Amino acid sequence: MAKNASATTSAAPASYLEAGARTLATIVFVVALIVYGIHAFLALTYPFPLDYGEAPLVDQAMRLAEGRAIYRASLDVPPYTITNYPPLYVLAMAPFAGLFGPNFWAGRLISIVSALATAVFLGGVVHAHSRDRFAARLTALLFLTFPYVAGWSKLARIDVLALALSAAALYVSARRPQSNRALAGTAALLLAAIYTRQSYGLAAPLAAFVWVWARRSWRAAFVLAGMVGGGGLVLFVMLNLATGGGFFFNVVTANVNPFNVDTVVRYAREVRGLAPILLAFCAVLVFVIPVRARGRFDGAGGWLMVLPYLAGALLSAATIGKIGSNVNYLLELCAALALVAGTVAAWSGKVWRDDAAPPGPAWVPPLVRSVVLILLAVQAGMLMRFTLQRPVQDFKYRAFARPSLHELRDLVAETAGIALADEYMGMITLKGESLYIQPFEVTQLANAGLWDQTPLLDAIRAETFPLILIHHFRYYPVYQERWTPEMLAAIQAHYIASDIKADTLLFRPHSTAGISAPVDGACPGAPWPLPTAAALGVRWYNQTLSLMGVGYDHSVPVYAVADGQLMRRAEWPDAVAILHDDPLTPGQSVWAFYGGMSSRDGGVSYVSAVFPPGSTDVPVKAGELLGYQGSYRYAWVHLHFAVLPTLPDVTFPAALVWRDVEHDLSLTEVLLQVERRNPDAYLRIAGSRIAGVEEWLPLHCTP
Amino acid sequence: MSMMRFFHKTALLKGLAIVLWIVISILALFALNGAVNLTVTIYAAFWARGELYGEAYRGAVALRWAIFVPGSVIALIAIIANTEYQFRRFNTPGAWRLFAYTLGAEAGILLLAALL
Repeated sequence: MAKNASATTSAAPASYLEAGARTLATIVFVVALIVYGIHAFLALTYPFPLDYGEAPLVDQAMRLAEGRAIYRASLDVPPYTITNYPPLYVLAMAPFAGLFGPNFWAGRLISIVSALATAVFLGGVVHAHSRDRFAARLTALLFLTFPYVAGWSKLARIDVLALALSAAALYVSARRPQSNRALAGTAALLLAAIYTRQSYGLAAPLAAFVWVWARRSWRAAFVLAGMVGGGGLVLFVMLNLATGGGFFFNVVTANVNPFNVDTVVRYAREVRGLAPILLAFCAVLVFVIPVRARGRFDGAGGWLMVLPYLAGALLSAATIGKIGSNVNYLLELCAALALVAGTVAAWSGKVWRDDAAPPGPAWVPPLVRSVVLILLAVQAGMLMRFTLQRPVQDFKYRAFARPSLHELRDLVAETAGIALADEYMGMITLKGESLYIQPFEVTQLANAGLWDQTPLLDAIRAETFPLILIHHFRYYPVYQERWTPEMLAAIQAHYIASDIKADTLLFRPHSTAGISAPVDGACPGAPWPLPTAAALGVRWYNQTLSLMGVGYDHSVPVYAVADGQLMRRAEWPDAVAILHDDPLTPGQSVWAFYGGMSSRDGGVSYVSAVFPPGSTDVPVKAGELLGYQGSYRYAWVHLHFAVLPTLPDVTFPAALVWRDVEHDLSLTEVLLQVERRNPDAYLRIAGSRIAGVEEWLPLHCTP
Repeated sequence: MSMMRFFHKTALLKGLAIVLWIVISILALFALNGAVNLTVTIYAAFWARGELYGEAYRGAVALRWAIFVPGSVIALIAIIANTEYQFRRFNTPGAWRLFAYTLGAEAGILLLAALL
């Protein structure tokens, strides 16, 4: 008795430390929940697509609501759409589509509710194993803290519903491992998860199988496997027969995409940097807990369920290398890591108590538990920071594009006929029309030789589609994965990019866009002629419009567009700037910048010898030769051309064309004073209308 | 236990309580600032644009005040209430636990303010 009292006294300071650590962790996770709630609410109230994959699912839900088939066996005739996944999520969305018309909120609501349910079930699994309520709550909240969960569960995508169903299956199995009804329930939930997303046939079924074998019997485990495998097979055969082979074609054949190992490595590094503490906890789960349990797995807090689930989730995550994959392939891994954290947190409070190992000092469990909770709080903070930096910023970028997206939606709504789109095909869905094409999916099929794109190419060449929307992401040319080179070539040849909205190029057919070719070196109606030839095309690059001629360095001449006063700074090997009268604002002046007129390294200047470095206030006439196109800091011969307003003291705003950023004024200061002007109004080049997008286009004049 | 030893032990515990009280009182001020920064950080992450002086900046300033004024009142109440509690229930498990809860909450806020 005296010994016990002494142990209690020695444990008291450690128990106070644990109380503090619990409070600390609670504060951190409550803030994480608030961040998740804000993110989810904003996504729910956002009316436009947040992801490429949302629109096809809404489209499928609309088709189902109208009683139309979604698993077509052939893509010989349009629509060229694919239903990549089994039907459960789309079935859940269909009533909403039928009742409220096309919308994204219903699908997002299902995902958010599914994420919350997943959190509850994961917490339930830990509680069932450990009876530790605090560890269970931590598990649930940690799951919602993952940036991948926060980012993906706000989308109208299938994944989180599948995850919720598989987590529910694990919960039922953990709660009543001996019950036959629970076994049947587990099988039914696993089947439902698989028929929401086929890849959920690995981690959770494996975990349930091992768990049932360990806690009940190998016979029960094989009964479970039989129910899931057999039931799945029967359903598959039935669906495939009912759709004339369409189910197999859509769900299996159309999902076989090329694999990129670099993507797996990139995400592996990202997860390692993002969750080092959780990965360390995985090592504890694998190496420490089993050793201390010494074969008595009853006290090991569900080790036998969590470890196989982690292994399955890792295998599942490795398939992220498939082209077109995204962080949805990491959701099971997030769930597994949350389970690992909860299991370790629960176990840490029982060190010396439940283990088979000999008992130790009483102050050890609360101390270990405190350290684990503090580490988990730090880990949650790291995850939250990533959430705010990545998915929240991605969402914000779209949210700030709202005005442009309203315009885009109206434009699509006003367009008579079939429009094609990629990222924003949801605008077509919102119009209430069925999709004509899912470009990424059919491009993958075409690349694999499983789909003949000729009819579509013919339709593009015949200018059948009044509008084509191709989205450009800021950092990566995703459109090259979404459209075949042949499709892009046909679009380039028969359509003209007439505008850009929300980073999306709007292509109109030549026959309706009213475009024309330059006549005598000028676009019709343009205040200025073209300063140089651009037979190879135009491209917005490095803050200026690049006009690319055909030829070698020093072969394509550059002329002044109007009378003016020329200046050339001493440090410019390639450029001159001319102060012209502004043809659009009489009485004011405007600078025209002519750059790129030198060899690539700037060693040989192609600027006319009449204008040596250091020239100032040299009068020039319209059409006067300034020099020749060069390849200065660029791959091809070109002229960098920009139209710039004067600074308040009428000097040249060099920082706007990335000259003299470190001298004179900083770029930010310049941007606060003046804005670069769109050359379109001066030259009437169609390409200059897409200022801001680094896209290479043929030279066309706007009407 | 002799009277001298009891005296020494009580004095030690009193000293510890005073040190802890000073620590939580100082940390309360830091935590208040941390809570304000944390709120503004989350606000900025969701709503702020890149401009230096604009709607989001003014929103952040307003938010700082909205958190700072009630926050400072709460911090004062927490410090005074903690003092009262420690005087009345010195060296009870509840008193030490209150120190733990307070320190944990302050550390949680500071941790988040540092990490986000």
